[in-house]
Amino acid sequence: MRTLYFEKKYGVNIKDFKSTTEIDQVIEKSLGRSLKLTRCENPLVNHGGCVFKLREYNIEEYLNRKFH
Amino acid sequence: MASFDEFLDLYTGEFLPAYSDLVAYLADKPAGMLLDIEATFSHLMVYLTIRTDDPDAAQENLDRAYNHMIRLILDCHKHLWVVVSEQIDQIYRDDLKRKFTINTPEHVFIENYHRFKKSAMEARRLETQQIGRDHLGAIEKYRETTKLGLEMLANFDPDKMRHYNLFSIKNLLKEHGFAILVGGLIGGVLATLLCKALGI
Repeated sequence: MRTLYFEKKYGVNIKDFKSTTEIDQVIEKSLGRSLKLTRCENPLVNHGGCVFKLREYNIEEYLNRKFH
Repeated sequence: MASFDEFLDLYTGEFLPAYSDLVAYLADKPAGMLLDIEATFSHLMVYLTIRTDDPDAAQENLDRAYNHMIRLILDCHKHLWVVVSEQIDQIYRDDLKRKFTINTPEHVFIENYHRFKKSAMEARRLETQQIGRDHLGAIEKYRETTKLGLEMLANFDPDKMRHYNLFSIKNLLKEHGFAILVGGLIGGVLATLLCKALGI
């Protein structure tokens, strides 16, 4: 097994997956909900050298507010 | 210089497993990771678009995509390691949890804990030594460390934890229940007298 957790937890073979979307779908199906974006950050992780703060946008809500 | 095949091997052989482990364990997606995914595939698209017209610039973009992918894999492993490490620390720091909620003898857990921390330090050392170079060694070491951490957590018994929590509450009530009851009664009587005196 190449994975430490995923294959064992979901009974799948990582070689059958070609994209992150396929992986997300398996996890979402098992969780019964969509995966949410989290802002878990830790000092060890460097996000590609990005020094800017991340902002969270709810695009749908933003558009609804603008158009109604 | 990375080749396109090397990039593909890295994507399927390292990135997808690291990504799947992290997202499956967190049951959510860390937003910061998306920045590197975006950067990786943006460079890759430039490579695919101009590879026949401008091979030098194309190669430069492929190298950048490869480096972003390496950093992304490293971040996935480090992030998972941090999460696992925090969970292990919670058990390790609590004497009673360490004794009563783990299915291995305490001394084995402590030995593994020290191995886990030592391995993590080794991974960190490899990572800092390899700055600007290939991080595959550090990636493998982080992976190995997290594997050890997950094996330790697999010995954690949620059922024992439930019993432990129940026992802690019962013990607290046994030790302090009488005092809480008497204190409550006295407080109630005093409050009633005070209300009467103030005419409330």
